Order: sequence, then structure tokens, then C-alpha cells
Amino acid sequence: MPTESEVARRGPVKRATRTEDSLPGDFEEWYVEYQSAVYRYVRFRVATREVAEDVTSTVFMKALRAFHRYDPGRASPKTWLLRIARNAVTDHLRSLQRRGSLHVSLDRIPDLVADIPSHEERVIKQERIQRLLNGARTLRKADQEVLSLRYGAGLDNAEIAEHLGISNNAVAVRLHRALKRLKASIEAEEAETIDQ
Amino acid sequence: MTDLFDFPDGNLPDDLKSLDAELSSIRYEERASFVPELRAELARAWTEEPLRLRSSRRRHIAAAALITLLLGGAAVPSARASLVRLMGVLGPEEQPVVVEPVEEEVREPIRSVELSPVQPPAAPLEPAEVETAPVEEPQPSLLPDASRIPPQMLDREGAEEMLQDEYPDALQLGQIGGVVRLRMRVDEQGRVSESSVIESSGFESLDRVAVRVAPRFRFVPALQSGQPVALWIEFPVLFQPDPARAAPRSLAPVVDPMSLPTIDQSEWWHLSTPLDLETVAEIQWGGTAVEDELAAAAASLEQALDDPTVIERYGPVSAILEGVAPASVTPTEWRTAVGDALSAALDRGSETPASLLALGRIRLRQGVRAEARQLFERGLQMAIREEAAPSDWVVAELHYERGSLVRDNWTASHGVGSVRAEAFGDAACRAARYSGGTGTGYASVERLIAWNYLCPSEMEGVFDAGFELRENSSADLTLMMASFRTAIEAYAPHTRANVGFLVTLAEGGRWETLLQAARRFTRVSGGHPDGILLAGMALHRLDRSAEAAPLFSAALERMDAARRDELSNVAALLGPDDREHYRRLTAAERRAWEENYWVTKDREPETAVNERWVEHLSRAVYADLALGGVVGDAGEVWVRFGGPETIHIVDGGSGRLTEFWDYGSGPDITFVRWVSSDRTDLTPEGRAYVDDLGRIFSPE
Repeated sequence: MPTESEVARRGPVKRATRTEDSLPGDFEEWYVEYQSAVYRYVRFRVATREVAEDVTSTVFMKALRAFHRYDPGRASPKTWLLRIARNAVTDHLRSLQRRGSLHVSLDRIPDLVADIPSHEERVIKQERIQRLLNGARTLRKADQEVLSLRYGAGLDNAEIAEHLGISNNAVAVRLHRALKRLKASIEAEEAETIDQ
Repeated sequence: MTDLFDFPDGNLPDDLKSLDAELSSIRYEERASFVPELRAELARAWTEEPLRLRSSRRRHIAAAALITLLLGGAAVPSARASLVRLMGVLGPEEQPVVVEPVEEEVREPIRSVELSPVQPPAAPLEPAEVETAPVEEPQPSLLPDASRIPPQMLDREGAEEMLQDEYPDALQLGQIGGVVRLRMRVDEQGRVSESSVIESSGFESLDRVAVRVAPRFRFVPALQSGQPVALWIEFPVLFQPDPARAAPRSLAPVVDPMSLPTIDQSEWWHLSTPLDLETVAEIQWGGTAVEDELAAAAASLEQALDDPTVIERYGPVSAILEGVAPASVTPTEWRTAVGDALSAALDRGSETPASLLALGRIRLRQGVRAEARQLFERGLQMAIREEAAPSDWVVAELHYERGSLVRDNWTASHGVGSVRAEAFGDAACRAARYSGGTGTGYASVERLIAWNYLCPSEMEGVFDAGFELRENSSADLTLMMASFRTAIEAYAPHTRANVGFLVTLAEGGRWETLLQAARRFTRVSGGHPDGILLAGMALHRLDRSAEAAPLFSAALERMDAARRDELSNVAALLGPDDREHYRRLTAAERRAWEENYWVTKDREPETAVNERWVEHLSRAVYADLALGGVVGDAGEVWVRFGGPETIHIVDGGSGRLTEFWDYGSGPDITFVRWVSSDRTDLTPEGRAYVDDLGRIFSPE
């Protein structure tokens, strides 16, 4: 038989009373607090707002179904949700891979916000950002992951470290390397464009 | 946003600052109504849906197992017990299940409950086969037997269907069945209000299915003087696998990996009392429980073999069981002679699970793997069928051997379902980082199994994201996982499966968990040295070297001299000259030399413990258990330099993997790993680099 402490470690096994339009208490808080981080993380890695919404829905639905198994001893709710999000994004990308290209057209993305007054500058900025994102999508998975945690979900090093199960220092190194590779990738693509 | 970076040197390099700023400036506008819409959708799902991910994913296999429900005659109005087969046919070798009267709880008749007249069961009973059990003393009852009518099951087919749906795929594929004997309280409404297992099938997953489904059974309640009453009944459920679904088969059904049974952490950790490490020194290897198990298995083998001359010449019988030849004969001669004797015993119908295990091991060493596997499976089937359960140790060994054979096939074909290593990035287990590298890397089977123990919920995600079915071989994967899991389940001190599991924890750096698990394993195994060593390693990594040191000492005292010498060997730490000198020493001289060596290496001589010696032992233990030995190339590098920061693995095809051990600065140390033998050798460049380092300085 499990000891009392073992049972306690196994997480919120409590069953919330189900009433109309209610979510279990903790989950409600999580949704309010982390929905945005999850969405931004997902959005950083997928091509369109619609896909990001679909994937985010999937993430929270999966989380809700697995809620009773969440173990606070293993990960914070935010980390747990972002892990589920990563799976969901991987699923999505895998399905794209099967169907064809992962690349997104350089058309301006309607939900991309650039805080620049001039329309012309905004267009240039948006194209540049889209180029960055496309560049990011050519990187290996581990690089994409660390960049989207940092620039999508907005996690700091310690949170990324918890998510990936590595040290803060290793996170810094990994980010550094990912940025270097991204820079090289964009420069290579720009050089190619100029050649053409 | 560079303040978040916290680079080792405190700053983001200039050339990347603008890129960081650009990426940090990216903002997307979220659709305003999305947040409330999704929230409403979640609330609806929470309110309405049965939120049971696993069951919703379960595939319904058309060729389902035969499941027989045996309704016990607990309340039959006489002291006679009846056996009524409601459906299906028991296997020819199946022992009849005798249902005995059970202690019953009869409530006061509830007169206020209005029930319609009792109907006969929904379907008439098949012509019942009634067997008579020994006459029992009538149980005390508040009511006269003559006036009592037992509960009658309603919708038997529905109940059987529910059980079929829940039959674990892994057990089905492994052709594993059994009888679970339940005790259930059928209340006045005919519902099962309580149930528990009074006799296990031997497989927790089958027991769990029975208990999970029981509350959905429906009965016409027991009647006492025409009034419904609550009654405890005994109710055996027979799970009998469908032979058509044995695995592996070319037409094996695709198995949803999500339906793999998992073991709740708390179930495996039920050996609850932590071992007091201070008492480890008092533990004698080969504790009573272990010895009893081995003795029972040996006795069973001896009985089957029934040939004193063979045992005298080629024994002792425990060595025959282990497949180890005595020094007096050559291994080949031994295998031939003992194999023939065991075959002859089988031919004359004298076989036990232990003899099948022993012969299987011999065939394995003779390279007849198909026959070996057949023997292990036959042994398992026999073990399941036997009423008198054989030694748990035998069952565990049979499972483990079979699992290993399946794993070999799996590895060789490399084409079963597979899990991309990258999918493990999401697992809570930190071991994910070492799961086989990137690119074409795949996670190793052992890690799959261990993670399935450790973090089943995360494993769902891993499988979800990373599981790729290939041809038909997922059946192998399922079967293999079930076998290893059951090996541990069947017998907690099982050395091979447990040590493999503990090493996986070490690989993942899960030191707290490793410490707890190693303590438990040490306890149940009666002080197995590997358990003590791994507990010591965990303590050291948890900065508790002072506690680790006496454990290492205790473990070294308990192992044979050869292994002790290997773990203590410091050749890898020495420069070329010292190494040459060290190698020329006798064993006794080495001990003295090592003692002096460690004194000079003590970093903090003011403390009672020599931290460098403890560090060395930690590395040596890991090299020994996880890398195939201290003296191999991988072991040598590990002992010298410790674990690398990361290991990158590139699949070079043809069963050849290249491993790059990255220590953060300088070139990576490169190895070639051969999948077939799991041997890891330095490449010529790797060897040259390691030797250069050795010439420049002796490692700390």
C-alpha cells in the first residue's frame, strides 16, 4: 500500500464537484494564469492564428483530461502545460510534414503586431519578423524549442531550465547556440536571395 | 530582454543582441473572444464528457478473448458449493474452480423496498456442470438456508463484453490469463456496492480489470423470505486469452501504445519502510526470502529432472537453474549433457516451470533462440495454470528472459514501432536528454520501460507525440514491455530487471528517486551489492558523500574479489608510467598502493571521508552497470572524466551508432556503438585524443 506521503505526492486526486459551466478550481486558475503563455508559445511555432487556437484548445483539453494525474512534485502547472503544448505542436508539425511543407509564405501575417507608426515600416518589420520565424523553423527541434519557450512563452532561464530539466547555465548556452544558428540561417537565406 | 539571459559571462554577445531584441519584439494579437470560447468549451467538456482518456482510446479488438464468468454459489441453500459455467470453455488443463461458501453478511430484510417480482436471469443458464465440493460446516446465518435465494446475474453477455474490452492488450498478446476471485457485496438493489480481490490471478492488471468492471455488474438481488437482502458472494472471473491473438504474428493487430498497461508508482513502491542505511552493514547477502525462493525453484527443478547422477556430475541444481557450468566440465559439454537430460525429462512429461526455465537458458546459450523463447513461454503458461504457484523468482526470470529475447528481435529489426528520441523531451524524466540523441536516434527499450514505470502520464504524451508504428512489430514492443514489467511485479528482488531499472534512474540523474528505489531493492533483495552501490551513488550525487562512503565499503566487502578489484581499479586515472607500474603489482600490493594513492588525492583531508575516492567509486559503479564494465573504452572514459555534458548519437546505419561525448570544451570524444552487441569502442580519433590527454595530465 502506498504510504500517506506517497499518496500526497501523486497530485490533486480530489474530484471537484461538477456543476454547469464550472471547471475544477485549480484548473480554472491555471487557465486564467497560463492560457496566454501557452497560446504565445504555440503561436510562435505554428503558421497561423487559427492553427494556434486549435492547438491551444487541444492542449487545455488534454490537460483537463489528465488533470487528476498532475503531480505537483514533478513540475509546476506552467511547465506541465507547456510540455503538453510541446507535444501538441509536435503533432501538428508532424502532420504538416506528412502533408508537405513546414514553411510559411512571407505574406504578412494578420495577427502580427508591430508597434511602428508608419505603414511602410510596419510592412518591412513584419516581413523581417516572418523571415526570422521561418528561419527558426529550419532549425533543429531542440533549438526551436528553446527559442519558442524564450520568445514565445516568455519564460526566463530558470523556467526554461525546469521545463527542459537542465541547468540554468545549460539553458543560456543552448539559447546562445540557437541564436547563433538562427543568425547563420537567416544570413544564408538572405545571401541566397541576393544571389538569385 | 537580455537581462533574462543570464549568460555565464553575464552578457549576451553583441552580435546576437539585435536578434534577441527583434525576437523579443514579436507580438501576436490574440482574438479577443478566443479565451472565453475555449474556457466555455472546457467547462462543457468537464461537465458532460466522461473524462477518461485511456478508455476512450482503447481499441476494440475484434478477435476478443474468451472471458468466462463463474458465478459462485455462495448463497446456494445448502452446504454444497456449485460451479456453474455461464459461458465459454475452460482449457483442458484448467483446474476447476471450486467455489466455497463464504462468510456472508446478511442484513435485516428491508421491507420498505418495493421490487417487482423476481425475474429469472435474462438468459437461461446453460446446462450447468455442477461439481461437488467438500462439505463445509454451514456458516452462521441469521436466516434459514431454505428460504434464501442467491443473487442471479443479469446481462451476462454485457458483463463479459465489458471484461473483454478491458482485457489488457499486452497480456492478450502474451497469451496470459488467469482467474481473479472477487468478493462482492450485492446490495438490495442488485448492484455491486463493494468488491475486492480475495485471490489474485497473479497479474495485477487482470485483477484491476476485474475490480474496475465489477461495479457495473447487475443482479437480481438475493431474496430472503421474498424480500431483497444484501449479500456477500464470491465470484471468480476467468480471463482466457484468445490463441489467435498471440504475439508476435505477421498479422498481429496494431496496438495502440496508449493502451499499454502502466504501473502506478505507488504500487511498485509499496515496499514502504525505507531502509535505514546504517543497518546495511548488518545485512547479509542472500537474505532468507531470496534463499527460500531459490530453494523452492531448485527443488522444483530437481523434481522434474529426477536424475541424481546428472545433478551430482553437473550440479548443484541451483547452478543448473542459473545455466552456469561448474569449473570441472567445459561449458559445451555441460550444456549438451544437462540439455539432453532436461529434454528427456520433458519428453516423459516431467516438467515444471523451473525445468523449462533451465532448459531455455541452455538453448539460449546454444544459440537456439526460437526454442529458448518457446520454452520460456511454455514455462509461463504452466506457471499460470498451476494451482500451486511456483516460485515467484521463476516467474520473474521467465518473464525477464522472454522480454530479453523479444527485445533482441526488436533491436535487431529496428523496425517495430519506435519512439523518436526527441519525443522524450517532454517527459518529466530528465533522462530524456540521454534518450538516444537527435536526428535519427530512437529511445532505448530499457528507458521506455523505466519511464513507463516512472511517469506514465508523461509517457502518454511521449507516445502521443513520438510513437511511430512500423510494420507489425509494435506487438513485440508491447509484449516486451509487459514481460519486463511483470518480471519486477512478480518478484520484487528480481535482480536483473530491478538493477536495470535503477541504472536508468541513475542515467536520468534522478538521485532522490534512485536513493529510495535502491534502498527498497536492497531491502527486499536481502542486501544485494548493486542496490547498496547505487544507493551510495545517489547519496554522493546528493552531496552526501559522508553517507555514501560506508555504503561503498559495505558493498565492496560483499562482492566477489574479481568484481571488487575491477571497481577499485585506478589504472584509468594514472599517467602512462604509473599505470605500467600499477599493472605489474600483485593483487595485495595493489590494495596497499591504492590506499596510498587515495590518501594523496584526498581534497579535504580534514573531513572523515575521502571525496575523491567516493567520486571514483560512483563513476566506476556507473561504468560497470551501465556501460558494460570499467575496463572497456566507454567505462575507461567515464571513470577518468566522469559523465559528459551531453551525448549525441548519430545512427550510421547497419547497426552502427556514433556517439559524441561532449564535455563542453575541447573536441568531443567519439565512440562507435554496435547495436548488436551494445559494445562501445573509441574511434581511432577518440582513442588518440584520450591518450593525448593522458600524456598531458592525469585526470582528477
